[in-house]
Amino acid sequence: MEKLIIEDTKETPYIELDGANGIFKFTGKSYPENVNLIYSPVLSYIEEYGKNPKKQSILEFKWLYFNTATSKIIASLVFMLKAIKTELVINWYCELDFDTMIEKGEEFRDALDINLNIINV
Amino acid sequence: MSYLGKFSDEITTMLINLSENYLEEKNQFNKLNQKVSFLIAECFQNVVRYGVYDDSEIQTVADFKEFFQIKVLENSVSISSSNLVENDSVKSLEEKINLVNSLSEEELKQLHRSVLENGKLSTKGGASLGLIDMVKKSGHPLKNLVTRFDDEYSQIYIGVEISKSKDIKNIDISILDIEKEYKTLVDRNILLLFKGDFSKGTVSDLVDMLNSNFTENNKLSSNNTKNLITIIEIIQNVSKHGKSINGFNEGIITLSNTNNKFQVECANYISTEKYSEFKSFMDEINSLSLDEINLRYKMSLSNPIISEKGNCGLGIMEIARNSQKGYNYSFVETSEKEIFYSIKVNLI
Repeated sequence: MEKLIIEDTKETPYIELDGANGIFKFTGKSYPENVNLIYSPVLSYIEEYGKNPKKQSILEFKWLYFNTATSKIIASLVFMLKAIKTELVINWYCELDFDTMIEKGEEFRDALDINLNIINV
Repeated sequence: MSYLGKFSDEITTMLINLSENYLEEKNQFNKLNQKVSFLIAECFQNVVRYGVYDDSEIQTVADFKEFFQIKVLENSVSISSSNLVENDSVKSLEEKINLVNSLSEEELKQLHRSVLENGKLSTKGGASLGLIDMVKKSGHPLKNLVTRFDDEYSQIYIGVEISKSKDIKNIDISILDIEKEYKTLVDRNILLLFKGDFSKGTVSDLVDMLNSNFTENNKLSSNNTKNLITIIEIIQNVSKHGKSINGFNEGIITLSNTNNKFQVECANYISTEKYSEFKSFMDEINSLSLDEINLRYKMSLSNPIISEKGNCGLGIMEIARNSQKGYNYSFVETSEKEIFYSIKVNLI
């Protein structure tokens, strides 16, 4: 499966989807108004990946900040990967004292009932 | 749009972007775009050139806020700025302004040429070229007003207007109006006021501007990140529930700072079809405790259904919890049966 790279913009993150290795990375800010428009190629890619997934899939998030509409997309990504036969690892990178983003990670962990590793950088 | 605060090249770029996006959408001003960007940059460079900027001097003028304003009017665009100048420089600056204002188009061209060839540079890096160009590009005289600030400094207001057509000779806003607005903004502790279309590129340009107000030593703190998220949700709420008029989602937003606490106030008309549902939802969230809001938030997050525009009311809940419920809102029905919604949020 070919890599899909979407460069960042003022409102959207750098996205690197590597289906061949099962690694999906999101880095930066995300606050587009119409998230569906921006993230639909991402969701389609994950759907395609789900047909022939790797044994382990890794979701990597290094957020500066994101809007609530992006929260729903993050949740959707997790739902999609949870539904396929793969061991899902979610790494949530943030700075040690950056409580806002640490809390966001913890909230996803609780709300979606997932193993989410908060990794200090 | 009015901005009071830190001035830098970065802010200039952001203000130019914001103005360009705005003018692009107002098609009739498209042709003026380049000239407007030029005039904004010139206004700023005047601030930097004549402004009091040495670190040693900042303390003496700590309670002074530099100012920039752009207004898109029916037939023109008005750009103005204000800053401090040393009392000793006032006379020569006023003379330069009076000179460029008194010249004909041809005389301005000649002066421009002669300054380029023989011009002396002022100690802050510019000849009168900026002022000459401002009059040449705008086609109107510069507006200016000087008021005494203290024994050392004076406050200068410079305004320039550019009309849609060369035939328009009148100007729409006087320099006294600009001074009055500046004073109102200062009295209300407003740092940024934006009134206009909240769709498309405007949101990210506004977020950029606010980001720079919150950034200290190139870093956005954890709390200010939360504040920025709150503001994004407030702004995006306007385009979600706002009444679209001729394709524009008009709204007004201000950022103010009172006793070192930031407040954001936002207001717009909302569509009557969305009013009842939106108001019920706001009232419902307002009736919940913070713990209940957090629980409700998590439930929405775990709901796999995404609504057409995305977030299942998460935005309002985010505003409520990020401000620790430090917000109030109102819906007012106008005599034209329009619903005017406003929200005021205390940032943390």
